[in-house]
Amino acid sequence: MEKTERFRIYNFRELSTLIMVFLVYFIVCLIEPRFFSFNSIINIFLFFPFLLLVALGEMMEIISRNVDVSLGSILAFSGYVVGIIFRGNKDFPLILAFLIAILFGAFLGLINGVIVTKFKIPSVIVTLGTMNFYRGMIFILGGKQIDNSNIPKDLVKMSQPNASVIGVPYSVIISIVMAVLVAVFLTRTRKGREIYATGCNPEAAKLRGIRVNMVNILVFVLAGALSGLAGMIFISRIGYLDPGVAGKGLEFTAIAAVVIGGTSMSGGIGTTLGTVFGCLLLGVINNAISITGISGYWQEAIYGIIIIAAVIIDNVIKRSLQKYQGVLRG
Amino acid sequence: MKQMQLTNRFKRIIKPELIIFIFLILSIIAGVLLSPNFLDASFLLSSTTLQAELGLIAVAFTLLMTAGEIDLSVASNMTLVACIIAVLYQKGINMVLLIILGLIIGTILGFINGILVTATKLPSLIITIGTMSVYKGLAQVLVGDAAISGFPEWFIGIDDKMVFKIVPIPLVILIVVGIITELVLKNTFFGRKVTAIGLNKEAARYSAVDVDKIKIFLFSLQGLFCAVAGIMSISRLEVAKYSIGTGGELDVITMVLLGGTAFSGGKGRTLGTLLAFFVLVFIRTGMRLAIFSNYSQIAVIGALLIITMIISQKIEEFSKDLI
Repeated sequence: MEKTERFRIYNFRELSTLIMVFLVYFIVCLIEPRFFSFNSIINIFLFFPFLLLVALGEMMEIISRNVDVSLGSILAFSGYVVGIIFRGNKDFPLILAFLIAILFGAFLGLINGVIVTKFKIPSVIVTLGTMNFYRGMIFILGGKQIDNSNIPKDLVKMSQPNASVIGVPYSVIISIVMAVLVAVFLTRTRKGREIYATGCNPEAAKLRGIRVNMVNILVFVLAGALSGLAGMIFISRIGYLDPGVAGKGLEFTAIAAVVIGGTSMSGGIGTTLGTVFGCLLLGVINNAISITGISGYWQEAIYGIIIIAAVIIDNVIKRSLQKYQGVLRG
Repeated sequence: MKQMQLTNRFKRIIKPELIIFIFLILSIIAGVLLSPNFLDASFLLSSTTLQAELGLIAVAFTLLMTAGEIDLSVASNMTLVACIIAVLYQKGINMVLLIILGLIIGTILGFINGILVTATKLPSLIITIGTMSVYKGLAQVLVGDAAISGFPEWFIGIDDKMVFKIVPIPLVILIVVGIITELVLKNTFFGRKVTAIGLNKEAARYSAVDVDKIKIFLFSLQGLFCAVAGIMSISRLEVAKYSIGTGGELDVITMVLLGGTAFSGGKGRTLGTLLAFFVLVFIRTGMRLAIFSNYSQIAVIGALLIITMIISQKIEEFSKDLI
């Protein structure tokens, strides 16, 4: 009984995010009819590939009761490493470059995960340290901007609508495929369920025979790998990589998307679909800001307000849910 | 038997507080190795002004973390106060009035954090990630990419004003405030309450400590300190930009944790925070003298933060089974 109630409420949570997406979209369309076009929808979808990839990793970490603020730096570092390779050899195989970015991101995530679990230090502190450490390391290793001329044409094409499957750019397809993979992993595999169990109650999970430390490290590695992939998509979309600003603050945007999508900051609850909708909502808002002529400086403030609002709404829902369950029981 | 006594004595000496002294010595050695000009007292003292604002924030942060809370919005709060003052000054409002107004606004911003955290009972981490974006975003909305300057003569250059011709005023403010905070934390009823909340919130509540009220007070105090820091920073920089506080959280949190304050609360060391402030100043000054970029500096400080946490965790485990 309890379980089905809970299930229903959290389905409702995702639905409400989707409704918000449409609501904001149509309100903006009423204000600015130009927004109601195929072009603007493509723009919305082009905004989110690398955000979605980072948000997927962040979501898994939040579900397992971790917070990671180093993902933006991992994105920049992986992108930079690949950029250096391209600078040396522009004909470097693209597949191999993707592989290197993903593996390098996973390695950086592994460092995070090992420090967090081995020394039992809160993940926020560790990743606050590594966020700055990774970003600084780029500059210690050189830190020159990766220019547009260094990036292979094929990579840039991946984010353009004209070279694509029925008008959908490859970068969008890659990110959606990753979202589906993450969803299947989280709901259909043993390790995925262990992530939820760990986030729900680490002590109980341990008593159940789940290797909590391994789960935590796995989550950090996956988030790192996804951010490494996001680094490639970032280069493809933006066309250059400035190590000082690439991905800076992206982790907070990703946290916003995850929280809007209904993932609970206290762990154990959250769905991939919700995170996708959360990213969509931010994409709509981001494009709405530019098309309605609101100053771009508002973007960060609006994101912040959304985070706070989403967290409070989630809290209210959870409390009324508890009250409701109390009524059912008593 | 005797050997056991010896190890016990050894364990009693090795305390988490010890690492800050080790780091202090190491940072001085590193500074000297990096540049022969490092050991110039007046130069070192004047470099403290670059970090004094963040040090001041770290002092209030120590209290907050002792009560088991964290505030990631500190640097944004400081920036927003600085930007509001700058914009209103351009509109022609008196600077003295603006300083008072700035202090009030900073306190209100901290108060908002406190209310949100206590009313929703959510982790302060996530709430302050939100307010961090809001405050920073509002600062951007206010000033955009502009750098506002032209403050009155008496207001600018706080870092050039010296006490005894050698100690800059920001450092004096920091040390005085730090020592007062230490005394309050260690010797007053209020300080005991703060520590009790950090140790065990429920137990504190049953001991008739008004947990929420104290937390809101601490967040407001943090806001006030951020406002002071914001005012000091525009006085030193002589311009206000939306980016003046960027990345300040890292330095602040590193100072607090390096000083020996427990992340989970219940143990606060303001004097440790002050010493950690000097460690950071020495490291940054040494690296600056050796012409390392700001990014290399934050790489080192980021690594320092993690190493500090690892060492204090190990020492904690080591001294736990003390008989």
